[in-house]
Amino acid sequence: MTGKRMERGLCELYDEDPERADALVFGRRSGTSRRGFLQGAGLASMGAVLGASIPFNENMPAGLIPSALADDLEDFEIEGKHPGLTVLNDRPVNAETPPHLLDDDVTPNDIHFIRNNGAMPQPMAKEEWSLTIDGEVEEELELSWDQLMNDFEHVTLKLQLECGGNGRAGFNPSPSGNQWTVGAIGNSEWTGVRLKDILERAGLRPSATYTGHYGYDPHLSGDADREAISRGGPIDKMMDPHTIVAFAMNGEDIPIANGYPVRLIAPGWAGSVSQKWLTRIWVRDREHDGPGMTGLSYRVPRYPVAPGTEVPHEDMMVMSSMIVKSIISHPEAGTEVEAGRPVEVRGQAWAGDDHVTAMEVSLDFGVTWQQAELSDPPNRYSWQRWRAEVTPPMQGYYEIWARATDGNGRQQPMVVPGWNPRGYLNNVCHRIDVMAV
Amino acid sequence: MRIPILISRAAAAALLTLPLAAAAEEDNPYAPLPPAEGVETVASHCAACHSARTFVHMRQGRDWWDDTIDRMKRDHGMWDIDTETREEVLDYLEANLGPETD
Repeated sequence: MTGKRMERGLCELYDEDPERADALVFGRRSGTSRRGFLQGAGLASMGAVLGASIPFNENMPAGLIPSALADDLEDFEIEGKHPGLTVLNDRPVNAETPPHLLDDDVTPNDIHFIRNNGAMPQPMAKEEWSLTIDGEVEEELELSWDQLMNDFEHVTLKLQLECGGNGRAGFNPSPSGNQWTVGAIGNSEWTGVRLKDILERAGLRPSATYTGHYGYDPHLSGDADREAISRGGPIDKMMDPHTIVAFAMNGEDIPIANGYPVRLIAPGWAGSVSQKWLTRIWVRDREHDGPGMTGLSYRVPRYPVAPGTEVPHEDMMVMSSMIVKSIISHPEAGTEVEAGRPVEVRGQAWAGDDHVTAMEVSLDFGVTWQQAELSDPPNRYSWQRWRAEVTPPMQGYYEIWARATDGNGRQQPMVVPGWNPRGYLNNVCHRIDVMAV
Repeated sequence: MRIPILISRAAAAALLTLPLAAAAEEDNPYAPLPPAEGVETVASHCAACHSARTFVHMRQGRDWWDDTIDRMKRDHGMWDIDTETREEVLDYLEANLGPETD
């Protein structure tokens, strides 16, 4: 606990007044340009703390907390999950995956992040489970596990699933919600039935415009009349052939923490649309208004706002697709590399409903960028592997920065993008530190 | 170029932030809530259903916390608390998780 408190002190000092923090902590003072530079005692002390000099120090923006010191978080363990996951909260359980554990093309079950809103439910037996389709449909359905197995075509797809609040920790002032850094993302291979096929079986009425999803996880208060969360999406997204009612994750039963026995996967949208422990889809004639749909939840302002603005609820709109983003999954932050030798850098990139068309990396605090190799997705909505080689010219402290560009030319920003009241859609460039020796 | 001796990241962070550290928390049963007057009341009313980890990172003024209690009651089934208890909770939040808290 003590270490965590201490670290928060440093981060908050930087949050409050980065340039003052530089001066205070490192004796570093900014130059006349926006790029700060390290001088005298400041350069020496920052170098001493990092354990190396900083060859590109003249490029390092003022007030930029060195990445080496910015990413330590306390770890706990969750049954059935990799001990390396970072637990952000235990009630409700929320855990993210450190980026170096996201190096697989397909995210293993024990590695996939967890975002719960309610209590972790006791697993419901497959024989007891059913899925109700009601509302604006010609015929209400109540599908059993056997019907899901036998009555519909099954598809298997690699699908990215990202929490809408992934990156929230980067916003200042701090929005309420889990302080996700970069690892509320996974790309497992999901098997299920197209929701489209189920909705067509039920027959959509012309009035069908939106869905509302329900699961069997209890509300944290224990009140049986409350839903832990109930979100949904527009019919077009639900009729996308990649939106599936999933019953297997990487060929196995879905782990309880990820929605056993059946969950929705609406890839590319905030993960909360992909209801876990799914039991009912209510087809609606208007935007759904369950818990998590209204107020500030999973909503962003209709216009850009200054950090800390109290935005009237009527000026907020429901988030749709997630946006272009990437992570560096190798090397792990803090790795020691050999000066003058090429270092393999690799990672994953994705872009919500869109796809990634270019990937670049920088070794000099974003002054110069080099193109990375980028793989095509194995299917639409899968993340994409990228790799590059960078060579630190001499010994010292470096940061590798990565940025992706999507099919519409939209690029990840190098600073945290538009603040919003609940801290969604932070797609700032991922950066890691490496030490060349 | 002189390369200083490598020290661990954790040690570096500890070394760096020692002057900024809050009091040691080994004896605080309400961690991660900072130990202070009212912590027991806050723990029992605000960390009963969910963990205090849900909100200890926030730095907000009294009105924001007051609104949050209303939201918890309206949307999340929080029980009624009397005025005196509510003031005690708000005093704690304002003093320990306020905008000026370091």
